[in-house]
Amino acid sequence: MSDKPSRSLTMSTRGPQMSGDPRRTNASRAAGRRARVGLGLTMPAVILMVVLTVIPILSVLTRAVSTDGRLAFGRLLDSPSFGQVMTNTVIWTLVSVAGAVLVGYAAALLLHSRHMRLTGIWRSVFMIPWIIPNVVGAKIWQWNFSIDYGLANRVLQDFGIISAPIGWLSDPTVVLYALAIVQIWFTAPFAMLLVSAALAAIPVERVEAARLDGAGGLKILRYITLPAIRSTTGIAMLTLVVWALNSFTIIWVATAGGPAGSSTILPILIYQAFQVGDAAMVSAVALIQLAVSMVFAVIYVRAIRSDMDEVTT
Amino acid sequence: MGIRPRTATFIAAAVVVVLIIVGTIIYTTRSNHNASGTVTWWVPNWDVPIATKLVAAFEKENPGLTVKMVETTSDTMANRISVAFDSGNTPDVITELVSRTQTYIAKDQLADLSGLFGKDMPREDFMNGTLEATSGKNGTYGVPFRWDAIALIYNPEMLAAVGAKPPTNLKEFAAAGKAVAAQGKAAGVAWPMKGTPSDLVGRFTAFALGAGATVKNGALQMDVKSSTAALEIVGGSVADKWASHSSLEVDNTGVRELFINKQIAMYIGGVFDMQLISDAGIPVASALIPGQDGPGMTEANGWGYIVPAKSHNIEGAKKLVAFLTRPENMATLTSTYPARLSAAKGERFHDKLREAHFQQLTEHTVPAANSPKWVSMAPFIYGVIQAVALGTTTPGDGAQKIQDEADRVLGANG
Repeated sequence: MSDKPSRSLTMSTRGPQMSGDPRRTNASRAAGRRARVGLGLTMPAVILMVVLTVIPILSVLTRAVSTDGRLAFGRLLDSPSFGQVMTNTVIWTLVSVAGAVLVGYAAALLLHSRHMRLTGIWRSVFMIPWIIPNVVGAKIWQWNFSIDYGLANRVLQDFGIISAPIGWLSDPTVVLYALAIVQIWFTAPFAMLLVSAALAAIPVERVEAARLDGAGGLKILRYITLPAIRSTTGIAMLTLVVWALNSFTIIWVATAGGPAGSSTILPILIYQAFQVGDAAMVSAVALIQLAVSMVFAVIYVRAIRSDMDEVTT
Repeated sequence: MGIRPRTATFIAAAVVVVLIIVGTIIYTTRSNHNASGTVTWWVPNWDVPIATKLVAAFEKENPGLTVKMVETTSDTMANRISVAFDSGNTPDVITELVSRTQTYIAKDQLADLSGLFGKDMPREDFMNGTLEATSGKNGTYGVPFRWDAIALIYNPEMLAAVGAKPPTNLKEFAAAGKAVAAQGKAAGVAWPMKGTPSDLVGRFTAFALGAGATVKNGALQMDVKSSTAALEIVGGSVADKWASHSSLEVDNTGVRELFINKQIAMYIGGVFDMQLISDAGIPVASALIPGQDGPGMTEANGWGYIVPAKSHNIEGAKKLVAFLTRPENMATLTSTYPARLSAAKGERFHDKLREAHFQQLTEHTVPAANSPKWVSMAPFIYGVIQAVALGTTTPGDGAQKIQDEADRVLGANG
């Protein structure tokens, strides 16, 4: 029996074949079969996604570019409150994302510290806001922030930090920041989880070597820890931005976008238009929301892809 | 080479699950649309316990009909009904706010119920304004069953403590409120500034009516003077600090809670609240809403039964509506007032606790402004009232903004 593979051409219903290495031919067939099975198994989910996502988007686009939709855009841009809504959306996004990142990172670093005890218990406690339903949490915070009954004012006054109660949810200059605190409370655990996983992946030897060289905590944080979790930082921030832009429940339950529109952001504006049956306005605002969200979604997908490329290379 | 056994099993299981789900959806949809035997009735959650008993009695009387009740809630009901009408997938009977009926009539979304009126249900038996609110286009498209109006609710002890009597006009109302606030322990009054816009706009409308506004063609006919007077009370009281600053954080329920906790001495509320406050052991009494020189006017509103034009069982729906609107059934299903005079004779509708509300309803109300254009203005007026309360707009400037918006939406006569 010869060790060399035969190279005779064989015509078959599948076309001319090089009957080269049979293992390679079987392997490629198996790969093709796996790909087809995988495609078949994912098709139901893809079809569902198309029905639940693409069709509604097309419906919104169609209505937005119709005559009524163009008039609605005109009314929206002429409205004196539109500028306030966009400003509120930007402030809300920046404050809630920055706060969640800072709090989440601080919690993760603290839990990762070698001086920390009962880490599992503390991690579980920190995860509680994450598992509470948004409506329940928003209602609790609405009571906490009540100017007459709220715990927040009571505690701050008892400690002498403030002399008179603050209208957390009724003062237009404060309300958006108060609601951002609630959003941070809900989303910081997510940032903490992501960063904790990234911190666990940092090789211990690297940190030990740095300590042996005399590096203190701050230098280790700056030159080893933060660079190592840079890609996680990007992913976390992008996810938090998308969540902030789509946030509705917290604001609606606590203030319904008030007082006097001072906590109205784009999703709230959509619902307010829906409440009065203004379908054209709903589509117009939804299109703006979609455009803004798509920018961050594209950045997010690219960041995920480059992250996966880094892992596989 | 075929699919591996494990993969084939998984695919088969997935197909079975999808078929089960699709089959369930088809079965549920078809059973909902059983044209002859089922009547689907959308009921507010607070009516469900009594409605269940009435349904049992109805089904006994009509063995061929089954009533399927679906609960609705006050904060989601309007949207849910609107979506049902727009999609064409409607129930057979809906309990809906009478003031929203004109919106559906304008879009030809309701079945004409004029045939229900006659010897057993004479039109003259309905309280003034009730049937006008559900009529249009030469037909009557809803049957009101509950009718009520807001009035002044106050704590007599808190007013007596500051030497104030129950106010009979706006001047006395403001004076009493300021006297209570001056004590520093509570506020004079509170308003539902975080909640459904129509609740707050209803209070604004009451004081605008007292200052000369009227309701015509389903819209409030106001001017800058009447709007200013109303804003000075509803928004200005918060800015001037004799109304609770919590107003910006509470809805109707929150206002009642402030009253029960003695944080406010007065508020404008419905008769439904009187029993709840009394049960909480708080001293409570009611009076007519104060107007400029005496009793003020307010809008009367209520709940009624409507039958969507696309109902799959219109005849069954009409039978249910006719049953529910019999005087004895109407009286059973309301803790405020029934829309039929013959149903309102019971003692429980005339006790001392409710007398002022009944007097307000029967002597000092107009049917609620309910034209679709007026309804679309509610969020704007709501925002202006809040701006006045925050002190960012004066009552006069706010009134001018409302007038400009009314002229734009309703025409120059608005």
